[in-house]
Amino acid sequence: MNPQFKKGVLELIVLESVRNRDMYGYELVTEVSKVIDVNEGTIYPLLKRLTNEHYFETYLRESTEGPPRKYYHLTAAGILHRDQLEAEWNEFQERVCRFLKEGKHE
Amino acid sequence: MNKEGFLKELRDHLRVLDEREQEDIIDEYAQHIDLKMKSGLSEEEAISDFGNIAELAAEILEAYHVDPKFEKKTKGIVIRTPDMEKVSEGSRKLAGKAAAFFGKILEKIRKMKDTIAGKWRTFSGKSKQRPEGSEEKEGRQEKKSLWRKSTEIPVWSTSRRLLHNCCVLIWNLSWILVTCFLMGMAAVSLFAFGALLTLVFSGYPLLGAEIFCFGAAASGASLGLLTFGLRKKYRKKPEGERKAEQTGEVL
Repeated sequence: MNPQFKKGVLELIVLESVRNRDMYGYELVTEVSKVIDVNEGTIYPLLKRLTNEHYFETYLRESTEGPPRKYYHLTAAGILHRDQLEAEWNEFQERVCRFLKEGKHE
Repeated sequence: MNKEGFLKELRDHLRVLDEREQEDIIDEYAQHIDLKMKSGLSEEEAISDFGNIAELAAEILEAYHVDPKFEKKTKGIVIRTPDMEKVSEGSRKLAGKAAAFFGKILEKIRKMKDTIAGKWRTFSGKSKQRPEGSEEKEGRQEKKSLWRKSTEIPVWSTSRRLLHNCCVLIWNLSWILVTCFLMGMAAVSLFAFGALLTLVFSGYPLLGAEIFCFGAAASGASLGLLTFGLRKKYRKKPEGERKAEQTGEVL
């Protein structure tokens, strides 16, 4: 899979994953990996950036299986950003599909 | 590579960040590796999924808007900044030295002034200071010589002696001026020597100038002493007067 494609859509997928429920790092990586194949090296820095930009809030929750885990929670700004990205993605995808379709018919 | 090594190297790349941030990131990654190992992967595999450490660190730093190439850019150039503590210490020592030196010079000048003033007073016969605890014999001799002075006929005429002593005064003053100049030069060289010394110890390539200043200071000081010694004494007077002068001299 083209890494540029993956990079482009990764942020949207991450934001979408956390919208439904708060998740911690490892869990999130597993979730996103179901959609596209990425490694931790890409996801964790992205999480850090989104947190610094205040799209995510983080908190620690005690865990029975080890040290406390850092959970990511989508903020209001994060929700707005996610909506924006989804809209952009839809438009983008539409135009590319249309272009490819038109190309096939010629 | 093992988990410890990986985390250590990652931390090293992130050292420009705040301590707490570093802790936070490293803890999270450590946790992730642990969970991956729990799910069956080996340590090596868990770590390899993170990819290249330098790239990973670069991406993390970008999230903080830190230029990941910053440290690399400055590593090549060795910037020798003078150690501020050394410089301030050195300058304090210098100030002390300079103060002591100038104090000494001032004292010398004062002494010279007193000597000249004393001699002038002696010459003009204004006052005679008797040394404390003078023996009676000397006292009697002094009284004798005082009396003798008033009645003795001087070898030279007063005006000639006056002229001569003026010349000697001018001679001495000019030599003292030269001495002051040389001593001043020596002082300045000493000061520069001290200042350069601190810089040399900080690594500046100023050893040549340093040696020059030392030489200038040493030669200035020795020439100054030489010219100081070239002062002439006042012309010798007849015995009686000489004795009176000797007792009256303030030295």
